Amino acid sequence: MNRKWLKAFTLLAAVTMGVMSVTSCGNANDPTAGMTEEEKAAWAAAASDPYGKYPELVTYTTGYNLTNQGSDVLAGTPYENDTPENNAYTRYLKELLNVQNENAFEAVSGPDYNQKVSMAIASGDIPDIMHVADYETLVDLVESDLIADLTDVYNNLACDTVKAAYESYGEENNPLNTVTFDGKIMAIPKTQLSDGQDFLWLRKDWLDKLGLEEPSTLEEMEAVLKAFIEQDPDGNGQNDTMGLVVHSDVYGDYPNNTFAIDNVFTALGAYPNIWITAEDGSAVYGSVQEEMKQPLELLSRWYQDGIIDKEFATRTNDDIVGLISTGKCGAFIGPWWAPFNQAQTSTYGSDDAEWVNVSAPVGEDGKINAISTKSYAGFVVVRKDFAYPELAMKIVNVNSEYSKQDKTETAAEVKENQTLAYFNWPLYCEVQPGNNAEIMTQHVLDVMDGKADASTLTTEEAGYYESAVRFLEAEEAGQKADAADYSQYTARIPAMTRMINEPANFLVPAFFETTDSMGSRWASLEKMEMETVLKIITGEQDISTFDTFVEEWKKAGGDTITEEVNEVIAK
Amino acid sequence: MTSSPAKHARISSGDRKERMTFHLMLLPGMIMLLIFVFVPLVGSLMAFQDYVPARGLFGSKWVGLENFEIIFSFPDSVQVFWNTLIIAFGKLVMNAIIPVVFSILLNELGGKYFKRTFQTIVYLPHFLSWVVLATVVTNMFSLEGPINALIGLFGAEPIQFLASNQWFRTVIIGTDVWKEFGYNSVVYLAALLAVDPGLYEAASIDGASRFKQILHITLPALMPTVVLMTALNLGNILNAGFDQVFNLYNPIVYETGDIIDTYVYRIGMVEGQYSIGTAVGLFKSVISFILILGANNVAKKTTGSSIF
Repeated sequence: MNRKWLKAFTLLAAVTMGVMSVTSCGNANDPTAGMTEEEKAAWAAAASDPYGKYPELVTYTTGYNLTNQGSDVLAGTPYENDTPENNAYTRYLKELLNVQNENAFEAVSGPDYNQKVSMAIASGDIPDIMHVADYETLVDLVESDLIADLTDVYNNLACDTVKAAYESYGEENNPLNTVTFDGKIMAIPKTQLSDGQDFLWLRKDWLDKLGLEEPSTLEEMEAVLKAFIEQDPDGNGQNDTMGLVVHSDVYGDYPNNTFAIDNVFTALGAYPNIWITAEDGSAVYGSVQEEMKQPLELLSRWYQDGIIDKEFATRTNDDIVGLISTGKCGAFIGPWWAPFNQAQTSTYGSDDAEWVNVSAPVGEDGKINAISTKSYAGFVVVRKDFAYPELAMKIVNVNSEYSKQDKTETAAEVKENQTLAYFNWPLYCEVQPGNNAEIMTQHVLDVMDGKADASTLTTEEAGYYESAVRFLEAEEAGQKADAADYSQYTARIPAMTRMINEPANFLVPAFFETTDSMGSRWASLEKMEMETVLKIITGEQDISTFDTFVEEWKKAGGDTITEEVNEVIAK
Repeated sequence: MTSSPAKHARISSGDRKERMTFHLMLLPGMIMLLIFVFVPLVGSLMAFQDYVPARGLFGSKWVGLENFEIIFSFPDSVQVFWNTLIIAFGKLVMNAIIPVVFSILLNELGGKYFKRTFQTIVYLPHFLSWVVLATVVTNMFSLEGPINALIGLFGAEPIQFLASNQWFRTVIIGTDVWKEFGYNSVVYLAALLAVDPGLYEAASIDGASRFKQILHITLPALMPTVVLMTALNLGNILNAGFDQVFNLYNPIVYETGDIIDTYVYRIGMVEGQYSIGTAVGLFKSVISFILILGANNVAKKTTGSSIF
């Protein structure tokens, strides 16, 4: 390129940029400039109503979350030409609120999307409204003063469903706590459904055969496991059954680690692997507390007596599933959705196994001591100085409440797209009550009991209801139901009913996130912890090594991290 | 090289064309080397940064040797280093001895077809990945597995090999040798083919026994290859075999089985500490490089053969 051209090109670029910045500034600073009083009133009304429609089209920039299913799921449907800026959801929002998204970036939710968010933040140029997935990013945004205070927006515009949903998590675990900085609500949290408590899943057919009662306390649980080992519950005349299978991690990620035995620890008042609030109000790490000793000693004895699997430390998840599906083991600890685990579905098909979830082992007050999961799963933030901050709340309202009750033709497209799934709702933020799974089961039960009509069910609930009906019909006809129907029915109906009827105590961890030193030190501390725990359980070392471990843990960075955690909480 | 017309003239155009074809055949390999070996080298810079993926390699903060300081302050870094050395050294030695012995024994056997079949069979495990073999090994060494059944015949108590700090390294080294000795012996078998049969004839005429022949003809003939192979493998002394250990270990045997690579995996990948992971990797590479150079020199001096 010769110099003259270069000069002209630079000039042109500079002018274009100048013009662009002038126009965009004008828009952002005063949207009501040059309007009549009437128009102003119309805009103000729209801004103060949870579902108010703007008098003119409002365009907002955003980051768009796609599902990982790929656009080809839409091929052959009427939606195959839809785009992230023009699809069922965006058309619905345009119709309802007169708003249109313009995507600064589009990515599959998860690491891909998160990376785009990080890049936007690093460049200091974030979209008007966007979803961010993790807490660190939110803190980053607050500290770098890039996002708007949404306190008024939330208080004035959040719909009842959203408010009630947040409250359903209880005062301590309310998702709003996480987004409140210095008393200001800085984001709209997306909710994470509560996963409930872990249960002791037992082979009901074995219990019946041996004439055993459902256990509840640790002692009763031990007695049942012993009987499962010694009294030949499978009736094949061979001494080939075992007690409780144990995840090689022993505990953690409550209650998502099926086969992990956190409940044995919590029954004795120990809360490993999470940050808990100590008596003096400070946060401490559960795995290094004195309470750990009692369950560790108990497990060590169980290991010696063969009550728990002797080879648990070297078993993979598949190994454990194998032990259960071949009918060698009839007891494990897992969440309400454990019937979806292959361990159960295969025994249902081959072995006539009947599984039941029992509230055991319980703590002192006769209830299972459970650990609450995070109540939030992402945040919607609004760029500072964006002229329509209330828009974020309105879209969340539509997503969480309005669209679900809208039985008009306008919402038909949205309903259809939910099952097709390639586009997500813009902002990707549905707010649901924590116990939504229980609520859905309650609705299905009402229909099954004839208390309500099947037409009252949402599409999701209707799917569960149909599964349950198919399962029961097959069973009645003396046939095996489809494995998928077995899982859906057993988890959603009997298991969930127990979860509703036998509530647990939920401990809310003091801290869910990570701190600076954790990144570099945690692997080392975790190694120390797992080594000690496994060696004590397998009897390679006795319980006195626990004290040494705690000392070393503190010295090797545990104390620093504990300080950091408390600092973050104090913020 | 300066291009003298005389030299140019010696390569006919047909020759050059032929060479061009060979060079072209080399090209894909060179491109792969460039993309997968040389380009990632730039990433080593991460070791001196507080690397944040979103900021990228050139936007992240430079921290000097801080990451190395962190690594050496870990309470278990010494233990992990020793575990790596011990396991890798055990593998190095056994992977030299067993294949040599095996190829000599096989060489002594008659029957071409038997030899070939046998060679192929022992060669097979090399092609299975540790992800698959780990399941086999775990089952073999489990409490109800065949190894413990065998021990039981002698009235001994069953042993949990993979959860025992006395046995873990032995199992790791042993199974690795079992997997690789067939493959490793290929080089030695080839070297043996090159031995002049006249030597054996002369030796037997002189009255040397089979054993003496092995000692004085076969072994010396193999020695340069053994030294060369060992020198080459010495560069791997800090590679104790990630995929094998990772698929077989558990926290109980961290004490004897946790190696640098598994450690880096847990810190770097699981905890997302890319800089620290890279720092350890770089440290490993530097040590390996020094060892290779050293071994190469030793090989050059003692046997006269070397890699470069």
